[in-house]
Parts: sequence; C-alpha cells; structure tokens
Amino acid sequence: MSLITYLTRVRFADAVLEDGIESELRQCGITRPFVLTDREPDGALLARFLGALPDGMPVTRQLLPNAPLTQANLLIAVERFRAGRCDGVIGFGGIAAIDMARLLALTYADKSARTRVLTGTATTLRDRGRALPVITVPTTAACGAGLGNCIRLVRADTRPVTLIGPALLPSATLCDPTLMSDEGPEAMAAAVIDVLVHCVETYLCTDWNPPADGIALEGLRRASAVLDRAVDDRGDLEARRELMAAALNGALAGQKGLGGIHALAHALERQVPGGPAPHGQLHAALAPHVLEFNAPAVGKRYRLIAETMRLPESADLPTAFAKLGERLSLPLRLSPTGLARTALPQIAAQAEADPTNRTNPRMATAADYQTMLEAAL
Amino acid sequence: MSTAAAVIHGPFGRVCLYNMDRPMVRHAHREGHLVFHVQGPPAEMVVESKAYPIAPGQAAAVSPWQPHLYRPLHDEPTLALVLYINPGWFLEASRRATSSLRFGRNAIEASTPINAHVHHIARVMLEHEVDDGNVEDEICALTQTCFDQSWQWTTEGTAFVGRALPVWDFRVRASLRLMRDHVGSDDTLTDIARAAGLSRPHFYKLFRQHVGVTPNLYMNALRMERAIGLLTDSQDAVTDIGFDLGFSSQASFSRFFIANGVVAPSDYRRSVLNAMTL
Repeated sequence: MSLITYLTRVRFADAVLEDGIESELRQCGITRPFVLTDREPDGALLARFLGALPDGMPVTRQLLPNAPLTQANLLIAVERFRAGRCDGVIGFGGIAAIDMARLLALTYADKSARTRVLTGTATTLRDRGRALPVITVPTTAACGAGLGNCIRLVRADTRPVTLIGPALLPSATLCDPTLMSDEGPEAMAAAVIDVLVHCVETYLCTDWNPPADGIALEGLRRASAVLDRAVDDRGDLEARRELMAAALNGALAGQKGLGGIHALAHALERQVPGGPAPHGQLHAALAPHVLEFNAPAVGKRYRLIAETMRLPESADLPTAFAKLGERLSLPLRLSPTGLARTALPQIAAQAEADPTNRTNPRMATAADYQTMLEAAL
Repeated sequence: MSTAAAVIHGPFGRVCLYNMDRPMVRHAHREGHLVFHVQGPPAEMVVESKAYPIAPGQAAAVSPWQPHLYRPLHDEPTLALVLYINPGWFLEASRRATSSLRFGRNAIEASTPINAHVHHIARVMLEHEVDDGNVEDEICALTQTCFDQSWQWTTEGTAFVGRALPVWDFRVRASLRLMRDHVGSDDTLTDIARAAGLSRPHFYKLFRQHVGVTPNLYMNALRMERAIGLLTDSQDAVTDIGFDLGFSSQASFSRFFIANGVVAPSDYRRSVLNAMTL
C-alpha cells in the first residue's frame, strides 16, 4: 500500500489575494497574523499584500533575506511571534518566506518538534501535532506554488538539513498568478526548470501513487507548452498562470517523493562560491547526468515524459534537458559558478544523505553522485 | 552463548543489540526485520533459502512472515543491531501497491547514512544516554531509509521479491484465530486442523500456501510474541511464563527462546529493564 493524501486547501485565481485572504483568515481562525516575507520592504507587491488584509488587523512582520533558512532566523521569528501575541502565520513571497512560515507554524508551539528540527537526525516530519494555522501566498513559481512538503534549513552548527513530510504542508495556499508579474527572466528560468524537474522526479520516483503520476504528467504538459512565453514576457499573464498551475501540480505530486536532481541541488546550491544559487538555477547542469544514471531503472517512462513534453520522437531525455537549459540561458556546467573539484566529495556525501535520494528510482551512493558531479563540472 | 547488550521497546517495535555467536533455528514472525553488523566478524542471515551477509557495508531485511535464520561464520561473537518493526509502522513506511508488508529486496547496502544511524543507535543503547530523545526518530529514519532502498533499482539486484499473497481461505483464517486463542494449551495442531474443518495434511498444505510459513513456525512466532510480552510487561517468574506457554521445564523454554530469539529469556528481560531508563 502507498499512503495517498491531499490535504491543503488551495484557492487559485487571478487576484485571489484581494478576493480570498479575508475569508481564508477567518477559516483558519487567524486574527493577529505574523507575516513572513522576503520581498523588498517598500516594494509594490508587499504594499498590495498589506492592503489586502482586513482593515485594522494587527500585523507583526519579519523580513527575511532571500537565502537559505537559518536556525538563527527561526529563533528570531519565534521571539517576534510571541512578542506580537500572534495566532497564525502567513508566508508571502518566495522560497525563504514560504518555507519559514511553514517551519515556524510547525515548531512554534511544539517544543519537541523544534528540538527535532534543530538537533535531530531524522528528517521526515509526519505529525502536525500542535502546529499553528499557516497560509502561504507565493509570488513565484519556484517554491512549489506555496505548498511543497520539503524545506532546507541551515542549523546553528552550519550543517544544512533537508526536512520533508506532510507535517510541513500549509493549512491553505492562495495561488494568485498576478503576483508573478515582478519576476524577471532569470528567476523565471530557474522556476520553470524547477517545475519541470519536480514533475519528472515525482513521476519517476519509487513510490506507487497513480493520482500523483497523473498530476505530475499534467503539470509537465502545461509547463512545457508555455515555458518560453512565461520566461520572456512579464506581461503574459496567461503563460504565467499556466506555469503556476504546473508548479501546483508539481507540488501536489511531490508527496510521492523526489529524486537525485533534488538531492544534488539541495547539497550544491548552498556551496556555490559567491552566495547561494537560486533553487533551480543549477538543475539544467545536473538533470542530464542524473537522468542518464537513472535510465536503466525507469522502464518506459522516459518515452512517456518525452511524449508529454512534445519532444521529437527521436529525442533522448537527458540531451533534451541540456538543450532546454540552453534555451532558458541557464548554466549547463558547474565550473563557471566557481565550484572547485575539491568541494565535490562533501556535496556528494550530502546528496546521498538527503531524504529525496531515498526515492530516486535507482539506488545512488555518494560515489555515484560524485561521478555525476564530475561529469557536470 | 549469545547475549543481549540492550533492548528498546517502542511504537515502532523492538530494537535489540545482540552479541551473537550461536546459530538460530529457522523461524518467522509478524514483524519486519532489519539486521545490521556493528562490530566483530561477519555472519549471515539465511532468508527463504538464500544467504545474505551481515558484514560491514552489508545488512539484511526480512519481510513479515518470511522464514529466516541467523548463522555465525566464526567463533567470535558478532555485535548486531536487530530491528523488529511492527506491521502497523511498516504500513506507514510502505510505498507499494503490490505488497504493503514487504521489503523489495533482502539485501541492504549499508550506505554511509545508514551506517551513521546504526552506529548512533548502537552507541545510545550501549551507553544508555538517558537524555538522547532522538533515538526513536533515528530508528524510524533508519527503517524508512532501508525500506526505500529495498525498492530502488541497482545493477546487482534488479528483481524485487515482493509478492501478493492470495485472499485467505476462511478455514485458514479460523485456524489462525484458534491458534491465537490456544497459545500454550495442550491442543495440538491436529486438533486445530480438525476444529477448522480440515484434515492434518490438507491443513498444512493450505496454511503454507496462504500464510507463507508452516503452522509450526506460526505457532512458534505466537509463543515468542506472548513470551516477550510477559517478560516485558509482567513480573511473572521466567519459569511460570514457560509453563504458561506449554513448556514442561525452564530449560526447554530457554532452549526455545534462544533458538527463536537469540538470547535466554532472563537475559532478554534484564536488557529491556535496563533500556527502559532511556
């Protein structure tokens, strides 16, 4: 048996931020929200968000750097939440805001969950226990439409950990495609490839979950059909709406599990010299090698993926992903990022230990990941 | 003589750290099983009829009700971490439609993350670190990692062992209930066969076909479960527990317990009490 659950309430529409937030706050029982954001404090988007909240609602805010979550930031959020006497969390923005909102909601009232997250070795979180209500409002497609079940956290000892599991899902998500109009082509390209990789990896992973397979393939079809328009044209609302829908599919299917591309990306993105790479930016460099490695384990599924993406009949999937990366102007190799060969063994070991590696279709050890990284360098 | 260094009971099942130098008889149980090498010479686990090494880098997984036995290869004892995973927990970890309570493969490669879990758990158990609240999470993570790995494709083992059992015959179901209600009584398996409406040979054949093990192995598993329950949860004397389960002497109960569960009953009880302080 495979456990199949779809839990989160999703409201998806243009301008659902303005139309839906009040009713969603009521439904979640939030009267004093704690708002986490990673957008510019004076930005138009944030102003739009604050304007959409009910008049007179007391709001406590925290601005996060657009970077991997840290233990220090989580503890600051806990303190501010307490000081503001808040009763629920809203994450507004990109990965940092959405992920911190979900993590804070899970660990604020539940000290044992917090200890496990900050010091434990286990990374699968199943039980929502005493979690607070949390609403996510994504402004990018790069964060699984706000309802991923996977979070990266850098602990106090600087060791990063990947947390995964249904306990990390939000109570509700507002998917408003009009919020994505600020995203530039570079950020969109990383988001597009992340959506595609989510759909591909969930479809290929070891779990048996037919609804998730269907959702993943449909996400792949939608994203493939609009990806150029979504990247190039900020004003193409239809394309961006389709992409957000595809990101939603990728995230819903994500309960099935991910695979080696994410295991490597999680380990790698933080290590890139000159600051963390945005999630997805290095997928195009990694995907061909991981797909090549997994090829013997996937049966006929590459052909189905190629058909869904409307690739030519003769197309080879690893090569197709390399070409796609080129089309999206994403880095196709890792060395231009300044990554040194000496850093590879550590990244490979982290990829092996990453929970997403557990559902990769083919068993992959640190040595396998090192080979893939060397090929991608 | 095999000895227990420590035993932990929890919602996931049981975790035992054993010094093993004696072979065991072929047996089966309703829990899923994972056996890891911690220290000492390599040994092996025979599952169905194939041997799997218990050695640095290699571990064995046994699905519920899969007949198996432990076999030492040297005189020196092997320190092994042995997990008995409850079927309920197994169901949570399971990811396949064809079989809920099955590992994909019996051979587990003890990768670096798996080894890290094994050694952490073994250290906590040996040192009785009372403030380590993470050990249960760690056991669950270890089980999930091994379970998932057993369903991943590898160049060495591409075939999966998972198989769906047929729907159980009502007479077999009745016999299972009778066996459960008569653990320790004088009723023989012939009596149970008759009560279930089957001849003895037909009963054996049908039982094996549907449950996957013989009625004798199944009865032994029930007696082990009952014995472990009484040793852990009651203050009854070991001799009395043996009598309750139908053994004529403490010596024969001990022999049975060692052959099916590694260590002597008194040793098992002592180790569980020690580990309760965790």
